[in-house]
Amino acid sequence: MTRFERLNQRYAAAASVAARSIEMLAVGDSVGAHLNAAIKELIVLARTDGPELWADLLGSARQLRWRLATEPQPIELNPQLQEMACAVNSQAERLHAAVGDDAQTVLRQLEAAALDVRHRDPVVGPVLVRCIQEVGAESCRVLAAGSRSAAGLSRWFIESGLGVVVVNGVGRRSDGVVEQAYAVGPPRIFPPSAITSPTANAVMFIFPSWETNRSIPRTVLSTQAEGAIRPRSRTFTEGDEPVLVRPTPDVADDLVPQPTWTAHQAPDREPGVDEVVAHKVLLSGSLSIYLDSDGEHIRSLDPTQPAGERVMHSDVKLVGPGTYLVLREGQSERQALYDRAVALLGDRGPQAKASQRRWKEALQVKLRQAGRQEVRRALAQIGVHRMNRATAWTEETLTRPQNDQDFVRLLAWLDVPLHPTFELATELRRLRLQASADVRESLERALSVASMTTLEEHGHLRLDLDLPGFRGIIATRVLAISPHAELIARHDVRVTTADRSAQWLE
Amino acid sequence: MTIRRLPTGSAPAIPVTYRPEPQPTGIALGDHPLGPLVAAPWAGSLIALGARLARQIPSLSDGQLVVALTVPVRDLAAVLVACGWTLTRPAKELGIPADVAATLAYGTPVRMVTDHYVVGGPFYGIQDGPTGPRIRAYGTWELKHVRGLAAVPDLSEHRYGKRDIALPGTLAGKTGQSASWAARQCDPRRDLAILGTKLWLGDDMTACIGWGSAGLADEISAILLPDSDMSPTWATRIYSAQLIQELDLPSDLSLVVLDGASAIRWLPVVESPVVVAVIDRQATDETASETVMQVRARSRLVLIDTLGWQPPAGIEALAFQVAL
Repeated sequence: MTRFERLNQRYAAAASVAARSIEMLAVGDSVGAHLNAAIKELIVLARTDGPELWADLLGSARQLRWRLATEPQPIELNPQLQEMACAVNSQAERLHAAVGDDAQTVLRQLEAAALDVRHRDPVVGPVLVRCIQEVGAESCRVLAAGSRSAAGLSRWFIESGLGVVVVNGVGRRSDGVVEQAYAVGPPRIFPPSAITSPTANAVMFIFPSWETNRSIPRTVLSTQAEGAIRPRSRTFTEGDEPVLVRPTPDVADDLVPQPTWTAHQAPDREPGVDEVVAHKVLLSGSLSIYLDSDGEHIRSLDPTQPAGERVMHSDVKLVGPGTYLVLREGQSERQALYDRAVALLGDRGPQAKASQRRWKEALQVKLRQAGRQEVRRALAQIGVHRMNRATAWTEETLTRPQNDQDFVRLLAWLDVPLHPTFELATELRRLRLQASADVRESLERALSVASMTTLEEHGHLRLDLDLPGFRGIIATRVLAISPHAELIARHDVRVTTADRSAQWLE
Repeated sequence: MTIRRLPTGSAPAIPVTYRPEPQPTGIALGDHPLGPLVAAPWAGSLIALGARLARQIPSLSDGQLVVALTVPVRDLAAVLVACGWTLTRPAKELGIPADVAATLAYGTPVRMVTDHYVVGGPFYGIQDGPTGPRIRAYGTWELKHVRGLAAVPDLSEHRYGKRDIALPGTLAGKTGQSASWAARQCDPRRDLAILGTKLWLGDDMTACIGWGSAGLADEISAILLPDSDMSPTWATRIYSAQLIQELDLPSDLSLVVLDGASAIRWLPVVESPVVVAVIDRQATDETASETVMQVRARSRLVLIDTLGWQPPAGIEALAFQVAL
């Protein structure tokens, strides 16, 4: 098949799925329904008791529920499910001595449910197999939510001789189109592309009936676009609906494992001169960073791009779960880039540093004396366009305001001589860009021989660059971003630290 | 590609127009100008969009027109819109080569199109030869075979040389561009840029578009003339969006096509009158769409109908006008 025929098929499949209904098959699952109910009871409990005590139990229980829905292979081929069920049991055991009577009941429910999971095959598995056999393995494709699910299902289908192709998420650019796709899990845990860029002419989602959020992901543009893809859905049910003794509490919950954030008070004051507003970001590889919400661009990586064009700078506002960040371990990249730029200046390095210090200190003094608001107002008055960046300009690593006029006016306002401050800062900026381009090139070289499949499977990858000062780079997937804004010391942002709060997310 | 050259000695004054076969008609795509080609109606729609936009470039005082498309896979979408645009923009009027030559100072860098080649180099004058006047510029050429000549004062030395000229195919013929083909190769408009993944755009450039599945198709690179930094003639600027640290596009661009998320992140700072953003729905993250919607939020919605175009099945389209 030529690339053009394949393209024709992809357009036809997209049109076909958009015109037909998305099918959902909800399978009655008593074991999972009990686990789900116990988790919701636990959420209610954690809400009144404070989340910290319950974080590990809730984290492991949610991860168990996630695996039950997305990795439905028989239990003897499912060590991941067994392992997580054991983890839930041991976390529950740990808490028995520490909690009161009400909580004991919930713990026992959860332990019983986890024990059941360890001894019964997930109910979705046989339904999935039957569906595949009805259509024929060669005419269908299984969509898995995540690389572990894909690997587990794949192994099962190979061992059972079913031989159906399993893809992680939504498939690859080069995939041909088959008649039917079966997605393991409810629609909303898949990216919209499962439906809007399908590699099959029809898509069915198979999941346990206790999952009640059956919303269909849409493209962001679909609310306003002409020709918007908004397929209808039809739900079928299979098996007996389990009967629960108590009604399942109606609480805000998500099938996708979520971290438990320690609730911080929103900052009740303006950040100090050496502080920034930042959000905690949990990263694959048991790491976290604080990301400055209003900061300059951050280096990111797109493993789906071809070698040589994978690394770029992303707006921090567009960083979200699933983004791969490229970070220098131990020290922020900004600092390292700045040091390299100064080094590239050679003999003039110290002069440039002193000149930079002079205007930055003058600005800092103004900020300290007059306050942020007043400085902004004064700068606006003299026609500085990006006066909101005033505090950021005091950062050592930010060489100068982007706009020439802004910089000229700022220097005049600070009463700092224009020459050679302007020229030195501009030269430093040029060299910083040069240093950044060098790092980029070196990264691309290292990445061109690294396996992107490994990166996507493990979530992170350590790289050694052939550039002084840039050894020890890690490419790592963002797992979650805290909704809580915090005030963080400027030199602590974007610095990786070991963090185990993500242990139940992957 | 030797098959695209005219046989030596029997060159007609105007390159041959290949007429489409009666059946089937419509846009067809292939890897080779001589086929096989497969009909691709969606590709026709994307070319039509580019053509529509080229016909009604808004003046910047009305604001910038942004058309965002979502496609199932990005392949070819950006270059097809660009082809529609390029084939519809009027070709520049070239003077008669002899007249142009008469105005040129010795050593002026020129670009010249003959029956077989595009030539770039310094102009060293006209001289008489046994078969008529000859022009000296990167070699010596019979003036009667020169189809176009233009002074290009900023033609840098590394672009000096000659390249085979591609002949107009069925799409160029259908869009009425065969007659202006030489002018388009000799002095193309350079009002178009594409930002995206360079390697993929390079693959796209090798595809061929035909009108109908018979006859000679047009190679996309022959229509768009991507700037390879070496070629004596070029029209479309191609940028690797990942490599850009600070966007600094030429100010005379009329259309910028942003192909994929890494290109679309620059949408807020692109200043051309028309922008087309191609969103690849295969990409799992939504950052491209979010950037588009952020810009959309401070703009005026334009009904797609008013562009005289309708997205085909499988493509979502959104247009809006942004005050610059």
